[in-house]
Amino acid sequence: MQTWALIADCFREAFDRKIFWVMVAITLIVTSAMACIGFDERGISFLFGVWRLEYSNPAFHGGLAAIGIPLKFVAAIAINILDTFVGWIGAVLALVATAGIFPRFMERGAIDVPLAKPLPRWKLFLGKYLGSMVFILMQATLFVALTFVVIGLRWRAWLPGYLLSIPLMVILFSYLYGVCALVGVMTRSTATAILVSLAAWLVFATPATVLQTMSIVQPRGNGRIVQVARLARWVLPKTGEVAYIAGRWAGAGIELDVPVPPPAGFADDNQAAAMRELSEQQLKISALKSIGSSLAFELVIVLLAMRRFSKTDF
Amino acid sequence: MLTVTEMTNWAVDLIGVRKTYGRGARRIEALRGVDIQVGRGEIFGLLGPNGAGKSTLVKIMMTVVHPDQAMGTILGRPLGNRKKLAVIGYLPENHRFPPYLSGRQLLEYYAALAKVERTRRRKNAERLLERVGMSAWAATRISKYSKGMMQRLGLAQALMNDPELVVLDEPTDGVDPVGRRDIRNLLLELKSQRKTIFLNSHLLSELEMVCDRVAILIEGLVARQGTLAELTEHTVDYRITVSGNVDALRPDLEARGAALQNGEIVVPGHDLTKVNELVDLLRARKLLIESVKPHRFSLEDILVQTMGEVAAQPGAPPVARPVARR
Repeated sequence: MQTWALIADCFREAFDRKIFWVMVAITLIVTSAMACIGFDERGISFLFGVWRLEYSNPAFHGGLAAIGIPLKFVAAIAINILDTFVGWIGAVLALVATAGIFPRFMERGAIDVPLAKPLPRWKLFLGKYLGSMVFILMQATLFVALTFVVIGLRWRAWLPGYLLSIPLMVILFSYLYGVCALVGVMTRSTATAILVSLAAWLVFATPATVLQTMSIVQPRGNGRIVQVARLARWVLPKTGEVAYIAGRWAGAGIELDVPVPPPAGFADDNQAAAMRELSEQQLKISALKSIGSSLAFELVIVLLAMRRFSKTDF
Repeated sequence: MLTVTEMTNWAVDLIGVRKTYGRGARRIEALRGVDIQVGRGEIFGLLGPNGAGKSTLVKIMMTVVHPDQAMGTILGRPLGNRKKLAVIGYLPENHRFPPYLSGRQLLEYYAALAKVERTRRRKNAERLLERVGMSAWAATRISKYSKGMMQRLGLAQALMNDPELVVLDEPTDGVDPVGRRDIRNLLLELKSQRKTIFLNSHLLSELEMVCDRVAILIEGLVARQGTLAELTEHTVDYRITVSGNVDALRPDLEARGAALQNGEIVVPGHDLTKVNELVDLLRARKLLIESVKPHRFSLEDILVQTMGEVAAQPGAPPVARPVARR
């Protein structure tokens, strides 16, 4: 009863905020834009048939021609959109929408009554935390469900695996929200919580970027930087890998791993091989290990935030 | 079955409550060992100057603030027991209710946190909104409420769980005179239902009108505690009004321990013999006596007097004067 009341309160608070409706509007705009484009066996139509582009048109060349059949093409675009939305816009908007929940809850005069109720402080914290998650779950469900239908109806590609992006979006958000909640509880400042969370996101992405760069610059290198980056990648949430996993699950059953030709800048055989190896590694990422270790980090952060919340005098 | 501690007559029995904020040079001792007892079914008033530690004490009772050291019970359970909060209502000072909720939603939300079952929540919400005169505003968002309306709603939320103990921190803050009278009546109504009320207010006249017992908190210690009669027992004087010029009598009056204030002869204490001696003196000097009246100190007088006593002893803690335990 108490947890549900807290979750329901998070919803009411979220509905009251303009950012919630901005997120809904963005979802509708993205979905509508996607619906404007249609695919069939012969080509692509824009603005519901106002303008058409046949596959036989010379505009299709290079990489696109290599993809061949429309379904793969469609899936590739869908995953690209998902990657962009999940990776950046969605998570940033979700952070902005929810970062203020703890600071506002802990404002002088606002927190006293809830704290004086017969529920432990950890439960109060968890109720608010889960409320934020459920709110994002709802937004993610709306986005993925709508785009799933559009991709199916307009792009002629029903991708059941794409629906698994819903929990993945929530998981990615939760990696960041753990930090956001901790900073929110410590500083009681929404702006600080958002900024630190975004900085943390950068830090989380750094080890993978360093390893990728090092593998290209020094394909056989195993120096101190590589070792530290490997350790950091293991410990920190793997935000970048969520997009790979989402893409893989969305394209399940579709031969998406089309061999990528080495980019023009990599004349060196070793570097080209390293790039190929990197691409293969991304396909081999273990969802269980990646998500499991990231959630373990999140759990530690959430426990720290919970402890701080429980010990604070208001 | 009730445990020994649950059978105590005290609704609130606090012993040695201490709380310090900050460290080093910024260290502030908010409470320095507070002992307070509140009987079941009584209205208890906590008063003191700003910064005395009143709100800190209330927050410790409600588990909002952690004490450095504290013993005692609330409704028979150890201080800090969260389960017992289910039967305690609380209205904090300067509360800020979620502006996105309506009055009814707020009552139901807080009642849900207090584990009040759904049907009882709805029934109580309607009853209490009616009782505090807010039925017409039940569906309106709180952001549209005035300060007085917020206080009324706050009182209603404090009663949603049918509490045995109601803790109110400045309940009449921002309320107009009519609203204050309504709140006083509500408090007396609650008392008639055998509910205990712990009232923290700086409006001393309000406390005087409704409280059975009060405690004066100064610099983090209870300086005085007892019933209004007990507190004013030794703070009575007699005022003699005389027709004619009494200035010439000043040396004689002072020799008998009396004083001349604003044309009135003030005889401190409860000494009727001295009063009669002075009456004899006045009659011997052929002065006409208009009235002889006992004058009992108000709470404000007592507070000011106690603050003066404390100020006169810099560094020394005020002397706590608890009444005999029940």
